[in-house]
Amino acid sequence: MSHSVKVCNVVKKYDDFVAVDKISCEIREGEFFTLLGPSGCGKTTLLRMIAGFNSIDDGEIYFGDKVINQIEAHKRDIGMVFQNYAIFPHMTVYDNVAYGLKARKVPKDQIEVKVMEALDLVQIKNLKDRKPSELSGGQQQRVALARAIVIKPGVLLMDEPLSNLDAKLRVQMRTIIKKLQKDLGITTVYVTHDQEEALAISDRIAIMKSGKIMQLDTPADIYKRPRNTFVAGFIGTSNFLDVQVRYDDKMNTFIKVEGGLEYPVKLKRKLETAILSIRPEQFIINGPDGRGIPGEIQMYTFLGDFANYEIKLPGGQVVEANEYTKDIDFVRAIGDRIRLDFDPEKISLFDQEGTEAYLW
Amino acid sequence: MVNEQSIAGKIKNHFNFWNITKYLFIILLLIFLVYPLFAIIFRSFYNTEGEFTMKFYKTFFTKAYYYRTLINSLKVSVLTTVLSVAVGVPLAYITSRFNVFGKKLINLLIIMSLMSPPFIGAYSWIMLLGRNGFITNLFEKIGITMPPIYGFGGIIMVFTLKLFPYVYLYVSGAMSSIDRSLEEAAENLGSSKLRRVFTVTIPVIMPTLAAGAIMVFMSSLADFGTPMLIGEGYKVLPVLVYEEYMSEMGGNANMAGALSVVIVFCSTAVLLIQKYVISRKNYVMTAMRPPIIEKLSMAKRILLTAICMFVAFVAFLPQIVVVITSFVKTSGPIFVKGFSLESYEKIFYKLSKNITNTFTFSIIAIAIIIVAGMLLSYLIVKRKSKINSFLDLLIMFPYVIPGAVLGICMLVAFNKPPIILSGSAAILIIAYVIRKMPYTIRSSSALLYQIEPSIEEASINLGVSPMKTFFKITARMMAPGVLSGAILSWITTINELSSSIMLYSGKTATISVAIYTEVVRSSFGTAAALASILTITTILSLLLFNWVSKGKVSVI
Repeated sequence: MSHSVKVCNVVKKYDDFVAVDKISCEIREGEFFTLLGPSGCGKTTLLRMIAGFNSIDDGEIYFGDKVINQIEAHKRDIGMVFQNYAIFPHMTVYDNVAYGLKARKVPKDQIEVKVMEALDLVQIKNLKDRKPSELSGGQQQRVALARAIVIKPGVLLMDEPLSNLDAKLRVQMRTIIKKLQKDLGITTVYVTHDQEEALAISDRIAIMKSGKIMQLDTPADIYKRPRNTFVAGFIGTSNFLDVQVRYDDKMNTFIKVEGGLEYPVKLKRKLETAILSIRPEQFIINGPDGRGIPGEIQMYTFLGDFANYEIKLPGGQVVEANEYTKDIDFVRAIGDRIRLDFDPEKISLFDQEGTEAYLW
Repeated sequence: MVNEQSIAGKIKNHFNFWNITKYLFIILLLIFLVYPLFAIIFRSFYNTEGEFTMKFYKTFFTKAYYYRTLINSLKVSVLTTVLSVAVGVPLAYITSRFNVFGKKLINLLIIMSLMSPPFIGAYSWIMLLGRNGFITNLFEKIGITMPPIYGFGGIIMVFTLKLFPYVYLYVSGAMSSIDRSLEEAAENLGSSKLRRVFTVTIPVIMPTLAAGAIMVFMSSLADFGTPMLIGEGYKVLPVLVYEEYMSEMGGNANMAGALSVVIVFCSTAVLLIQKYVISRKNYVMTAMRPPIIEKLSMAKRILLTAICMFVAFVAFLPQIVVVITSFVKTSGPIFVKGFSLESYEKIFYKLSKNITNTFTFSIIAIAIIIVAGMLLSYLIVKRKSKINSFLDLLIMFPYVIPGAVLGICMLVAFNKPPIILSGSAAILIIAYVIRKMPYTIRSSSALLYQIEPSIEEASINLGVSPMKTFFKITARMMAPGVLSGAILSWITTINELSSSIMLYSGKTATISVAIYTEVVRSSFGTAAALASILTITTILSLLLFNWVSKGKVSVI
């Protein structure tokens, strides 16, 4: 049955290069857990350590409360979906899906029932006698998925399973995967570099960089409350602005962007300057007589439900701001002078090292 | 406690299926390849009393009787290589760039002459152009005396006709993978057609051409049967090795050992030059748009077809001659008018043992080659490590060891305790496995490189152990490559002469050995019948190869 996966101070080194650097995290039973990060961040390495294809140089991985470091890959009871599907080319769809059941010595009549059930779940019952060479990418993906879930694995691992599909199919498949995972309640570890996919599909996301987890949170928290400038910049679009910090006699703290208003904030510790991170849609665009930082529109892109502007600030920095079509009567033109304001509750503040400084 | 467990676990993990396989092969190769080689090197530096001496090398380099054979060998190999390039390159250019007729037939004939038993060429050309040859006699009647075929000229002719296919096949491969745009660019820059060939086409295919030329060089340096049969007074190194060993009765192979070291040194040097100087400049190319095949006017088309067909036919001629002469009536060594099956009757009475030997030994060798070749190519391709690249080097080393030399090495190593194999069938089979396995390994590896590692991981993670995964998934997917390679190993094994001639005893003589001894005894009829059996088997095997490999695996 499905179980939790606990990763404790796990290390993977390739000569001098530390691919996974003392990572700890717990993937809860039945959870959809995503490892997200740029290429080379160690996400696939960690996934393959869980699968047993990479050795664990230090630390422990637990399935439930059992250490599995020394258990060989074929005894770990894992279902895995590979980036290139890895369908056995010399077997039919049916035989591919039945493969893991045969290895488990499941009686023949039960194999048939289970295989058909799995094929039904991924909606390819009609393709059971096809050879892999006769399938499209999306269909192969479904076979791979059926093959992994039919054995009712303790944990399901997915390594960028959608990256070889076209955009439309990708969205379709990710919905199928999410629904399937919830229905079956399988603990799932999912690796992707596509942030939109991660946000859409996950219960929790671990954002990785250089072998470390930068933030582990729910998709909404990761988007709204990035813990460092890396996460703020990696997830969605963020503008970074330098701000001055001022303290008054009563030790109230204020921040001020050059040319803009001063806002009261609470900081974790005393800082002279800070980095303000704000998303394009968090800017409030006012007319030239309104309040906020003065700026000039350099470029606009109309995208249907919203318009995206590139705005030049007095210091020369260019920021992005969005305005929703439903909120406005007209699209602003290049050269328009505007003022940018924001709600101090909704922005993030970081110290110069890029770690979170805002006290929530 | 935890630590002890994990150490025990690590040791247990280390002795998994693949590591055990790896160590097993290393031990086998050390016993059957490295030890014999060192035995012969050792022997060449010690006299019969067991004292260190350079005597044998000194003798070799000071006595003309000995060093002349090295010069002769080099002369033969260089000239054969030059001529093979001169024949092979234009032929490859014509068939890959012009719409000549019957390309498939031309290719098939050329491949068949390459894969034919090595000494059939010498034998057949003697039948045609020798002292009592068919063509010689024909010309004699009209008053023209043909120049003698024996000696230097004969060796060169037979070698060139037999080995130019290497150049042809390598170069045609390269010619058809040059992207069209490259030559178009040259043309676009104002280069004339002929100039383009010499400034773009030839330089680009140069590394491939060199690889083919090296194959010609090595094969002509190592071959024993042809110079033995047709060389007469013109002695080359492998022939000398054989004679020295046979004359040093009692198995003291000191001089033969020194000669072997010299010859292995030469071929290794050539191979290293190829590996480090030429292959560096390899221009890997995948032709997005293969080159245009030029449409010729009918007259030119017929002319070029005739040229190609003529060359291919002359190269293939020995096999036709062999089959025809096997049906000619004989009276002792003389062929007489009329056809009969008496040569076949004779061999089935007298020499059936040789036939069963060839097929039994080859089948056993191939069975071993298939299993070992699969496992070894897997180790080399999928389990890259220092030990495994050493394994790779060991396996490919027999390429540079002429068969006669390998034969002597094995004899020297295994004619005394702890392992006595001389005179047994086992020693022949081991020699075949060592010499012919590279074919299977090469074509299996080529296929393995295309199998994604995730396919195996998918199987393992579905609960099938790595060993079972290999047999259930990987082995199945490798099968076409292994099978095509095994057919090539098979063809070269049944035709093997040079190591067999050193290793056979009365009971273990093979068809090739029997052909050789029959030719020496001038019973040309029985030799032809035996050779026909080999030729026909070879042709059938090649057709099987074409069918199995579906044109995806090259014979070279």
